[in-house]
Amino acid sequence: MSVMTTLLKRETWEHRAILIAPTVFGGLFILVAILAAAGAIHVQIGDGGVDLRAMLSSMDGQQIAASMQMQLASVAVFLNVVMLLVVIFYLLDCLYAERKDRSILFWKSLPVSDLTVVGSKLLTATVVIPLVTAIVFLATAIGIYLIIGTLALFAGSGAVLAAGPGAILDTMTAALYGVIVQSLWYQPLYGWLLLVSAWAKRTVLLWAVLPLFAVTALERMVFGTGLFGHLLGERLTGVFPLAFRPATDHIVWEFHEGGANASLELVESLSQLMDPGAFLLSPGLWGGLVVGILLSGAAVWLRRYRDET
Amino acid sequence: MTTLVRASNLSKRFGHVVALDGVDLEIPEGRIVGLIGPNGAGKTTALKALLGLTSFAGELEVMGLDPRRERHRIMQDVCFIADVAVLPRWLKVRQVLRVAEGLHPRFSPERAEKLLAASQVRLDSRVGQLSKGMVTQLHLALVMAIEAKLLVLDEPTIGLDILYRKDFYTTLLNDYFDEGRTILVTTHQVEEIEHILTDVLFINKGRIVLDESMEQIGERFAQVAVTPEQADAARDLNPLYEQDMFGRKIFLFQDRSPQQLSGLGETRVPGIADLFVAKMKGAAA
Repeated sequence: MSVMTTLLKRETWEHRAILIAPTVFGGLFILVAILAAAGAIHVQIGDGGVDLRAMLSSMDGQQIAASMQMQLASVAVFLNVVMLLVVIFYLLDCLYAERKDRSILFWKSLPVSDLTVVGSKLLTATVVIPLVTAIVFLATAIGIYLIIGTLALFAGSGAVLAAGPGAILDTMTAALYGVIVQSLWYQPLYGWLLLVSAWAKRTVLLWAVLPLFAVTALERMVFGTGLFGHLLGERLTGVFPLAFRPATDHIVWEFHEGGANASLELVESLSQLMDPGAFLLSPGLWGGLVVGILLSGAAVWLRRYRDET
Repeated sequence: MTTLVRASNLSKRFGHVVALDGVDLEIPEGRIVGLIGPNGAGKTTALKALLGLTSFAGELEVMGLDPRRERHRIMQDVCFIADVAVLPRWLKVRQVLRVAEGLHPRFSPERAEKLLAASQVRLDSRVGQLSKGMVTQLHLALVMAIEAKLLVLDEPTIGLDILYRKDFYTTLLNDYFDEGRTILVTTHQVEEIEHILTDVLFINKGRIVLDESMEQIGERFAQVAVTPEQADAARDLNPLYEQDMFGRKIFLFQDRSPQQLSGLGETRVPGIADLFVAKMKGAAA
């Protein structure tokens, strides 16, 4: 095993949430899909309130694919939130825990440079955790597809099974793109969390958050401006508006029968909304990367030269 | 003979506290050197300096490399145990071996597994579940499976039962040490390492106060039990240290010929602990 592979493995051994958290939530979505499918069958047989067959036959293939994409996208967004929480807590803990339990002395007894070690932690946050989340998403999407597809088949329509692979591929492409742009865009935040983790003696979460508020408040008091707060807000929320363009064409599906009324505006393809050009050309991306490298570099320096044991 | 560690005028201060005050020392290959001093004498600071774990002033070379800049290259030939309590508790024993195999080019997992098979340590246990004695066995297995030129031990047996402490050093001496290996060990429990050392370094208040091989100590230092009547005659020879014991006076002499001492009583080579006390108290007086 190469040094980097070993270091990345070690991170998943120590921080088991990296594997467990996305898997648990992916599993929950499958469970919900199974329960929903069972519920739908029950409704069919029981009072027949909503006619699944009629509903499906009111949609064409494109509408079915688009509505599947919307369902899968909501799963992707939810797993994305889980991923970000895992990344935040991982980064805050990764250089702090080894100092707290003094195992840093063991790690430092091995011939690996601090740059490589801190690099493995940044790589875990930037690549490994998003990759694990993407794989869990793919597995969850396939599971949901098989459950709902089978349900539709029982209702007499093979359209869901037919539309699924295309919808999964399209959502997966958009989801992968989404985690990549986030990983790049959030580099300054990740660098900041690494630095706090390498520096704070206790209460890492507090140290990660308070200075950001303090700088914002101080700037307002001293200069009366809100530049830092604006930059911070932009960093936290600005990535998707930048990396995706708003949908222009919508597919509208309406369904009225008996007591059931539904009207949905669907997007034909999520991957068509990706706008990598605008993202790559934005100064915010490159400026953020520079700040991220500086902050992560400071974390490497601290781990190398700090002497507190 | 190759010199592994060479320090000259090694200094380090923490604010107003001087931890190392111009230390000069050389550690040749194939020796077992004890760095011995009271708490706060600068033992750990000296070790940390040569492992590149702390900043310092002065000259320091470890296997020809500067620990400030080439730390991770030095660590390829050095094995270092701070104390046995620093193995990550969340790792399984099997994973400890995988980590060492992946990160240390001179680690042999086969050898470590063979050593562990003879111990009570199970590969599936987590480090946190092992008793202190078993953690020591695990750590020893790691150390002995690494082909290191220099083994640095900083109070390695702190917090261990006396049984395991003895085992630790016996195993080290019998199964690990050979001419190609060098061991540098710090402790304030002088007695438990005395019999394995080839060289002794005493450090006090950041200064080296004694730097001798065990043979030289046998030649240069003598301890004599003297009857009270002869105490004044002994004092005339300017002893390093004197103490009362069972109605006799015990004197410790440095650089006195056997002829000078023969009239006083039976001479013997002092133990490191006695020599240590004499040197530390003598320095204070």
